Amino acid sequence: MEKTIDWIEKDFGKLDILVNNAGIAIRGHVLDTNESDWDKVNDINSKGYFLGTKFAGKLMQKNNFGSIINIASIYAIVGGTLSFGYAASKGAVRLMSKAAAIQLAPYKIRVNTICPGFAATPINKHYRLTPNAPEVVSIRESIPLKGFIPADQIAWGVVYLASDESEWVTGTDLLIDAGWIAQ
Amino acid sequence: MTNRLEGKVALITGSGGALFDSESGLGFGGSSAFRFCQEEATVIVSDINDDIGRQFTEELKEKGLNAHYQHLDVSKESEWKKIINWIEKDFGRLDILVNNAGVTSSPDIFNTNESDWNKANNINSKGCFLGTKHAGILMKKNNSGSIINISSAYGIVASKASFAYHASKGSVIAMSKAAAIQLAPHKVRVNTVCPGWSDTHFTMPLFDNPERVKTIINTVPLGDWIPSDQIAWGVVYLASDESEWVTGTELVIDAGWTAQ
Ligand SMILES: NC(=O)c1ccc[n+]([C@@H]2O[C@H](COP(=O)([O-])OP(=O)(O)OC[C@H]3O[C@@H](n4cnc5c(N)ncnc54)[C@H](O)[C@@H]3O)[C@@H](O)[C@H]2O)c1
Repeated sequence: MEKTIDWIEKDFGKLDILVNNAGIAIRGHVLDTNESDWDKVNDINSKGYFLGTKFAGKLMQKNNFGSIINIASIYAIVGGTLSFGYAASKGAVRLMSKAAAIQLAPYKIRVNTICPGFAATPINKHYRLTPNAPEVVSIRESIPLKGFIPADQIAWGVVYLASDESEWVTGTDLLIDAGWIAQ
Repeated sequence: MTNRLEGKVALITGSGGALFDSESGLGFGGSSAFRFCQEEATVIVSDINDDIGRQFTEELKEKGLNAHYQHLDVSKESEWKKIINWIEKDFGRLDILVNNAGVTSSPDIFNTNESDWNKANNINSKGCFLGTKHAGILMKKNNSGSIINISSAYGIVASKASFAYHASKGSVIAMSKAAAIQLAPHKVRVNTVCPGWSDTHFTMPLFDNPERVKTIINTVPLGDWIPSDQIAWGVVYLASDESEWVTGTELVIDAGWTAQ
């Protein structure tokens, strides 16, 4: 991370926007989660975002300007039966974003999360490949708008939070979940 | 991008309370009306303040924008029926409703009397219900629509005063979620915007007390009053197809105030 930020500073002179998006999904009930599963998912999803926010924050601080967007999940807000370490890592993302928002506010650096619901992205390619599988049908039926969210919708939310249209938005979560959490 | 709302018909309540050069600047409703027009929506400005509302609508028209004025007291069901009928007859459809009209109520619980309670809840809460219901009936016919309810950071966290206001704005958040679930089968989305401290006509009385203003702003992480235009951009996002899969949630535009 430090290396990438150094390179950005040398080649572009500044950084205005960071999207912490890299993530992995590990499934597993709390009783079946072993230490290495926990470490892996928390290193990438949670520690990865910390490092990104820290090093990008240092560069943005020089300009007194910036917007950091952390992709969390609906599983940062509620629990589910199938994953545990993942939920912990995404919950960490959500609260670390609020803490970073408060701590970086003096430098006019904004930090927000996007919490996507069930989206038809490569991580969930089975939604598209086996639309009639019982598991996929039951997830779809649980979504108020009755469909999987196109990745482009997440992109528009990121654009909004990255742009000056949201200059006064910080420390909050933008849910793009087709109404799933509201029920 | 300047056509994010092209072809859409929008109704914004409480959007006629100020002119472009008013001392307080435009409120959230007026700013939203302006940005909606720029994004090529057909906008119906409405308010109980008909003189200013008509004048503001003329100002929009003078800029070559597509705006119309109509009287609407949001606390009266008969007026909602009338305006929605008029919209259906004249425009054939309604794509966007912004329930923005609102009043403050400053007493704490012990000093809140029944009439304070009724006023805040009839306009802020019942107004949203009636709007959502009657706009929902029209939107349902098209199987599409976006309703944006303006709540407040005061709908999320509480303070020592403003008891009836907190209650009314909290109810807006919960009712928006219920409406989102109940209107989802008709592809009508319902979301809330929760603004923090903004220096509109609404908060003008606070400026008589500079000490109070300082104490408030000291609690805001980004350190200043939020321009009403920022609320307008959030409303544009939720009104546009960019948020087609966003429903039942809150967009908090509060400069970090409720994150601490
Ligand atoms: N300014 C802030 O700091 C702030 C913060 C959070 C939430 N809000 C909310 O934002 C909304 C807009 O407020 P604003 O700051 O633009 O203030 P504003 O006073 O400019 O706007 C409120 C508008 O509502 C109209 N209105 C009042 N009663 C009405 C009724 N019965 N029917 C129709 N219209 C009526 C008023 O004439 C006025 O034009 C309100 O709901 C308010 O509660 C404001």
